Order: sequence, then structure tokens, then C-alpha cells
Amino acid sequence: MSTVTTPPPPRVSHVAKQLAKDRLGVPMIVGHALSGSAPLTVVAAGTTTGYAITGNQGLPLIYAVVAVALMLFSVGFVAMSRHIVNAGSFYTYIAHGMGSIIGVGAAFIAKLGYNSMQVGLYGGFGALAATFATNRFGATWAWWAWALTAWLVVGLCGLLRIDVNGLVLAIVLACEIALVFVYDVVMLAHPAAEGYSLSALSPTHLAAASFGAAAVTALAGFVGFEATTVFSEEARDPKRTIARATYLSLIIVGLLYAGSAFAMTIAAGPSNIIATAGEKQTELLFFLASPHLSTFFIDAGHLLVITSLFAALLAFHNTCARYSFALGRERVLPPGLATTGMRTGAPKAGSLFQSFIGLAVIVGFAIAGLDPVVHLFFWLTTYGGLGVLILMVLTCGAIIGYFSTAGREHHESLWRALIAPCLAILVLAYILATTVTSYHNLLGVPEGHPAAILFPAAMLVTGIVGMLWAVWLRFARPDIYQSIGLGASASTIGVRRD
Amino acid sequence: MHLADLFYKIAHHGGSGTSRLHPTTTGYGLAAALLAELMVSGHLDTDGENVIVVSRQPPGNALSHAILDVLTAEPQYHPLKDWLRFFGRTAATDVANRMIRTGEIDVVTERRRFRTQTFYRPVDAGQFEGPYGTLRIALLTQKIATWDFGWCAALSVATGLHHQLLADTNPQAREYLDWIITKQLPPYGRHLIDVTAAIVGGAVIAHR
Repeated sequence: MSTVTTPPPPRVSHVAKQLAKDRLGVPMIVGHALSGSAPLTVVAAGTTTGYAITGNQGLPLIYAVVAVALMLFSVGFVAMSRHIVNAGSFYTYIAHGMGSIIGVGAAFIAKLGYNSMQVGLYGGFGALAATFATNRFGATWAWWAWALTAWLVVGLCGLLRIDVNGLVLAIVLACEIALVFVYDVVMLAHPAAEGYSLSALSPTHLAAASFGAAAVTALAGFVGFEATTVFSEEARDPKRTIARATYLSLIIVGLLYAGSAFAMTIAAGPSNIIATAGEKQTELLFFLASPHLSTFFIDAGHLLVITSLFAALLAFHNTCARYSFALGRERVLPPGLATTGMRTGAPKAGSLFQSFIGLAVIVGFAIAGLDPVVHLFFWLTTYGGLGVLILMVLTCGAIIGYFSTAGREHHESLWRALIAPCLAILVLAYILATTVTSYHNLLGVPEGHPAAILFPAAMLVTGIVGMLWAVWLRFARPDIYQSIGLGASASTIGVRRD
Repeated sequence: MHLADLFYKIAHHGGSGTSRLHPTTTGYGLAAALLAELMVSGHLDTDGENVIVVSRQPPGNALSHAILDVLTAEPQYHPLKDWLRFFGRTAATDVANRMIRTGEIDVVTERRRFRTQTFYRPVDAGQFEGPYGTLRIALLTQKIATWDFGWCAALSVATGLHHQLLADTNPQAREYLDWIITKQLPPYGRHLIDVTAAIVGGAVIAHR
């Protein structure tokens, strides 16, 4: 008689089990992404100023459209992140999918875009902190004094690798989202004379001349979601975690931004929202909610906006510093930028470089007497949004290029490799085209104003300079040229020669 | 002297025993050194991605034996980067404990910031600091005489410690470092240095 024996249980990999404990799950990665997005900053400062400057009532719908476009973009983006590891940036994907010359052009645009985003936030911080301190405590510090204080603290934190504790960040983020929800409920519960009008959701706003400007404003609010792919090597489940974290981040902030923008139109009245936003600017949210909420909620809101801005400043400072590190490591930029603090491991040179830019911009704007909210905060953060939009359009092309050539061996689905990127590129390219051709709407200046040409032209010139630099590298320094797009793996060539 | 012990000395200050590098970076460097010991002794090799056990003969010291045991107990191959991450978590403590047994380090517990912390202090600061100075001079004069200092030079590149070692020296020293890695190390050594450097860089990019 034969004896049935059960096979021994499969041996468990102790190493895999141990490493899995250190891996990041969806909540941690979503937290990282949202802290950079700074949701309360976007609602209280970005959306309100967006209404005032662009004059487009349809921001609620536009936020939703942009969120959907970004989710389409993320399909291919996340798929590519599974195969291009050690990447800190869009430009790595662009280099792999479209070639190193366009990749370096994209890298230069990325530096300009993310730097603009980061230094622009100093304007918002300075203005909001100054207003709150004056109203609440009678303090008389100018906006630039507050901005410089934040600059000093952010610079030190970046240099010394001092991070806001993850738990603290999570609690503050949860408070921000909860408070926005409270404000939205209050605003929706107290409609203006026009009642519950849905005119802000009319598709006609998508065809308005200011659509591009409003869309870039909306997109600037989402910047930070792409940080999820930086953790692709450390994610718990390489196939699912990053995708889920990315979509969840977009859904959370998309609903928050669209919902809040809509609630503002109900509370102010759709026909009054633009004028009221123009008058109240970053105080609009509090102006609309304060008649129905105690001082505690209004003060808490002001404080949380300021902490939200600070968290975003630090997050983007670190992003810019790490970008400089990655480019210095590949020697696309001077290798000195890849220097890290010996004890801290922080990208020291990149951090100092970013601090230098921030100081120059704050001092320059203060001396020129420019408005910190309109000129520094709104102009520069939306300029950063424009840069990221260009990168996304190029990345869509890179995704299609990569999976049809070197990436074909990965056998990604047609949806991920082609259809979703094509749909995304259609929407994003349309937004880009309408923005660039009517950039005066984004700046709030008359049509034909020189600034409306100079801003997009500067971005284009930056990209071209990057491409020309790559061409020079190809012929003069082929060893550097071949390391473009390798990310941290470029160290084997670069580190030995710097 | 064991390779990892030598690199430990080079990567730490002789007086205080504190690391010259960020703890995560030190961990990766020492993990690489521990794996290098087993590669040099013929116990391990790589196939270009994974670490492979070539010989199960017991190594000459308890720490290497423990590491080899972990490797042989695994039901599957793992990439080198996973091993660096795995051993990098405890490498500094493991090597320090080995050096306690050889009498080169003392363990000291002190109460700081309202909690008791453990520190590893060199027994003889001058003797402990010696290898750092020796390596620096060897790079300046381009005369590394022994294989273990050659390995330590390569590990210093992988961890970024070479920036401290060569802070005020001439470009020839950097070219010499390049030559050591590309011409003197065996293929498994170059692979180990490459992957270690990538992980160290990746940790900076991911801010981990």
C-alpha cells in the first residue's frame, strides 16, 4: 500500500521577510506625496489666487479634468517606474524613452520648474505669515522678513537633514484635510443668493480663453504626486503599491481641490467668485467660512496654511537638492553638486545651491517692491507647473518610445504602454498649447505684455540650452554622455572621476 | 586584520569612535566589506546580479561564518543589493562586536538626552586612527601596497568617503583610485563597488 506523504512546507526566505518589514506600504508613500502637494496651501492660496488671476469660474471642473488627465498619465508612468529604477525624476524616463539629448533638455527644464515652484512658495509663506501675525498679534514684520526666516530654517533643515517627524507630518496632513472638509461643508451649507448653481461645472469653461491658465494653476496644485515613483525600489509590492499610492494621492487631492473650489463658488455665488477672489485673495477661504465658524477654526486654518506652506517649502527644497545631486552624479551638471554631507548624508551642495537661489529671489522681489502673493507665489508656482506640464508631455512620449523599443521585453499591456499615454498626451498637450498661446491670462497682464512672451520663451530656451549641452557632451565627453539617465547607478563612472 | 575591521577604522574617528559618514552609508560600506571578505576567501561570487555561495567550508571567523550561514539558509538567490540592504542594517554593530572581541574597541553606555545609549570607543585612539592616515598617504603617493587597503580605497569611493580622504590632494590621486577599481579589482569586486555606490546614491535620492 502506498503512503501519501505531504510535501514539506516551502522554505521561507528570512531575508525577504526581513526586508519586507522595511518596505513602504501605500499609506506611507501617499503621505510623502501629499506632504509635497500641501493640500491646504493649494485650497487657501492656489485656488483663491487662481480665481482672481485667471478669471475662470470653471476651476472646480478643471481640477477634475486635470486629475483625470494625471491619472491617465500615471498609468504609463508607474509602469515605466517598475523598470527604470534608481530614478529621481521625469528626465530619467525621458532620457530612456526619447534619447539623452532630449533627456538633458528636460533635465534643465525640470531644474527651472522645480526651483520656481520652491522659491515661489516663499512668497505665499511670507504674505500669509505676515497677515496672520499682524491681525492676531499686531506684529509689523514685512512679508520678506517672514520669508527670510522660513528660508533660514528650511536651509538649515535641508543641510542638516532634519526632517519633520513622519507621525507629526501625518497628523498635520490629516488636520489640514479635516479642516478643508469642515470649511467646505460650512460653505455648501450657506449658499449665496444664487443658491446651488452648477454654472461653475459647465463645460463651456473648458473652451474659455483662460482655460490653459486655469489648467496650469490646477496642475501646479498636484505637483508632488510624481514623488511616489522615487520609492519604487522600496515599495512593498513592486507591481501594485506605487500604482495604488499614485492613484490614491490623485483621487484624494483631486476631490479636495475640486470640491473646495466648487464650495467657494456656492458660498460666494458663481457670478461673484472672481470679483470676491480678486478683493480677498488668499483670505477668500476664511472670508467665506468665518461668518459661520468660531474663531478657533479660522485661527487653526491660518496656522495650518502656514505649516502646510512650510512643509511644502521643505519638501520641494529637498526635491530640488536631490535633483541637483542626481544631475551632478551623472555629471550633466558640475559634479560638485553631488557632494553630500559626510555625517548627514544630505545632498549638501544641492541644498546650498537651492538656498542661494531662494535668497536671491526673495531679496530681489523685496527690493523691486513686487507683490509676494501675485508675483512671487502665483507667478512662480504656476511657472513651476508649466515646467512640470512640459515634462509630463515629454514623458508620455518617452513611455510610448520606451515600451515600443528597449522596454518591449517587459510585455506591459497595450493600455499601459500605448493607449493611456496617448490619451494623456492629447489632454496635456492641449493644455500646454492653450497655456503658452495665452500666457497673459496666467500672469493677469494685458495681451501682448512682454512678460507673457518672456516666461514661456525662457522655458523653451532653457530646454534648448540643455539639449545643446548634451550634444557637446556627446562629442567632447562621451563617458559622461553614456551615463545620462542612469540615476544613482551613474556613480560607477562619475564618482571615480570627480 | 579583517577587511571590514580595517574599513571600520577608516570610516570612524579614532578619538570618539563616531562615524565619519551617515549611519546608513556606513552600514552599506561595512556590509560590502563583509561580503568582500567572503568573496576574497572564495566562499561567494556573483553572477552579475545575484550573490552565489561557491563554498560552504567554514570561514576563519565567527562573523563571516554567521553571514555565510544566512546566505546558505536562503531557499533562493538574492540580488547583491538586497544583501547589502539586509546586512547593512546591522553591519556596523556586528563589526564593532568583532572588534570588541579582538580588544580594539570598548563598549560604553552613557545616559544622554534622557535615555541610555551605547557607544563604541576605540581602546587606543592613535592606533585606531592609523589606517585612515595610511590610506590617505597611499593615495597621495599612489602607492597602495596591500590588497586590503586597495579594497578600502574602492569602498571609500562607493561610500563617498574618498571626498574626505582626498579633500586637498591632486587629481592624480583620483585617477589612481579609478585605476584601482577598474584595473586591480576582480570582476566581482567591481560589481560589488558599483552596486554599493548605487545603493548609497539611491538612499540620498529617496531621502531614506
